[in-house]
Amino acid sequence: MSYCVNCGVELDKSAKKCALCSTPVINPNEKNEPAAAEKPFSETLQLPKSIKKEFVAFAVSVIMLIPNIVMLFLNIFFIRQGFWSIYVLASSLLLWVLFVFPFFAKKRRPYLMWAFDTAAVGGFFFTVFALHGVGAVVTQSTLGIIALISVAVLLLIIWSRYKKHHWTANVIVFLVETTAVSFFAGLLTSYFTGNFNFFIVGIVISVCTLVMTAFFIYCNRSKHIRNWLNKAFYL
Amino acid sequence: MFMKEIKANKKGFWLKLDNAAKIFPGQNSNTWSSSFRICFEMKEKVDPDLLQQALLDIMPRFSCYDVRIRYGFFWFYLEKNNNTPVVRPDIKNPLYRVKFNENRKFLFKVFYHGNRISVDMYHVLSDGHGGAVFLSTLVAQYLRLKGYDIPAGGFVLDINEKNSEGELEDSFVKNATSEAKYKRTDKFCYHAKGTRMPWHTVNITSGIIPFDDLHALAKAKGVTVTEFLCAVMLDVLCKKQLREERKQKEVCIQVPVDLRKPFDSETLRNFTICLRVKVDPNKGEYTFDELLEQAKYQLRLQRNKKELNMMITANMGIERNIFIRALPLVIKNLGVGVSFAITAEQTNSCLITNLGPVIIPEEMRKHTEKVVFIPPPGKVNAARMGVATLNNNLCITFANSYLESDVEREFFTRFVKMGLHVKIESNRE
Repeated sequence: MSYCVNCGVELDKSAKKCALCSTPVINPNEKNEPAAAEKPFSETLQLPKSIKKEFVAFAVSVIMLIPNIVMLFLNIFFIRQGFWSIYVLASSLLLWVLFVFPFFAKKRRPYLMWAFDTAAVGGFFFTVFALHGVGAVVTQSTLGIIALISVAVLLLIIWSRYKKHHWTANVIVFLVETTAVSFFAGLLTSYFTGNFNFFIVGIVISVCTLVMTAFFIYCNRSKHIRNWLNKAFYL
Repeated sequence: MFMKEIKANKKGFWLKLDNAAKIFPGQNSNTWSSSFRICFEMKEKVDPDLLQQALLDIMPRFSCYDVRIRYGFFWFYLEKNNNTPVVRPDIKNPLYRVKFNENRKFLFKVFYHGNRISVDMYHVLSDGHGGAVFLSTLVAQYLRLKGYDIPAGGFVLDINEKNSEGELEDSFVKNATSEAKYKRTDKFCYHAKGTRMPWHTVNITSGIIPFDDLHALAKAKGVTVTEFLCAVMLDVLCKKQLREERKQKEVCIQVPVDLRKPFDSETLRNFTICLRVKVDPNKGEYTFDELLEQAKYQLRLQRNKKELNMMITANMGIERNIFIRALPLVIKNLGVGVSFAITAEQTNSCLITNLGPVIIPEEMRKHTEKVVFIPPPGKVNAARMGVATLNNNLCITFANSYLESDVEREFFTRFVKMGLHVKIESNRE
């Protein structure tokens, strides 16, 4: 018979530590008892059989492939007005790379996924614009913005993998990046289009995010305001 | 395949889900089900072969549990299950989720481990009373097969009799006759902070206290054991909320009550309703004696036939509503899921369900040690509590989906400080 010196409760014969406070059971009079006594609960854990995510990803890929083949077939043999099926193919490829491809990876590979996603988004817009015959200005602006966002995401990945941060620090980094992306996107677009209004829009968004950044930097430094935020917005 | 099933079930035994059971399939998910467990701890090691035979022997007596659940167009229904149930070795994570096409399509599972015989029962079938009657009858038959002479009586049913109409009835339908309107005033309340356990796992902690000692303590304060436990739990949760340094919310404890006695019912299906005991810490700090008074008066005010009838009539009103009845099951299920997410546990901080004394024949008491009653673990409630009494052993069991054991520790150490002997058993490592 063992009692917890911390809680004062009697413990089961098989207990190696107190279930309430984790204090180890040391009973010099009954040396072998914890191992010998049968536990009140079984040791076998029942968990559901998990479906392999690769299998699901493969099934989804096949399902996505079928309409694409049908569209391509129709475009080549029946409805031969332009390369309209390329839109469907490009959209499906984009969706596949963004949402299905990650499930084929056995480990998390954020940098590889980042590279694929950037290439897929850039490739999608380039293909659509090229087919649609939009001018070089739109293509350059769009690809420039995609490149900017992509660099921002890469920096965010590096930041999050560096070490675990407090949530306010994460918000600050996100807002700083949004400020930079808005500023440069406005600058880039106004440079390519020659329209200064884009730059003004970029500046307005940057100023707003800067104000929010300043607020969160203050929150990050002040323990008092952080506690208040935790209390007031507790879910 | 479908025709085969229809032919096999030519007797046509089927049951509508009772009023309380109707919400549980809608709440069911891949990771969580509303099941409860009742265990009988025997004085000898359990023989699985005899237990299997005992289970087969008693199944004809419990035709309302020998069923599978089926999808209808408007409602779920229960239909005779043509498979045979099996007993299996116990698992570490009791109350494992229910899938309608697993477990040979039965909605209960019988386990054995060492000296324990346990039943995990899906709430669609019955409440704690029904589960206790089923397990008591199973244990009695098991002991008979071992060579002991165990008569029927109390929770042990005579397996040679047939199910009476009263045992199979939906007592909610029969008794919902109130003309008063029930106003629901539930609001979001306090939920203890904690680290969630991985899905499919739950921490079980039982504290065994001598019933006579606790009863004497409660009696000295002029309250019942349930009211006493409620007050202790309110105190524990109020203090925990204060320590968490957060916006103080109302602490609300849900207390299911058995309606069989007040409404004179012998049903083996669900027939309970949940009462609530609430205190608002914003009104000021409550002493333990004040909490005792709150628990006592709030529960007694609600626990009378007229008030209970009003509540069950309100619940029946939803089921009887012609527009709700006409909705297809898929939409009803969606509605139940949404309503469960935004109300249900969100309006309760904890659950205390007291099965009361398990009444079994004297001949059976010699072979049994105690009864453990484990309530369905909560999704957002830190620890939910089930209580059962047998042979002067009052067993309080927490089903906790959180890693931390601070609620259990504070609760049980209160009794130690009051001078009671508490023995702890747990599946924690």
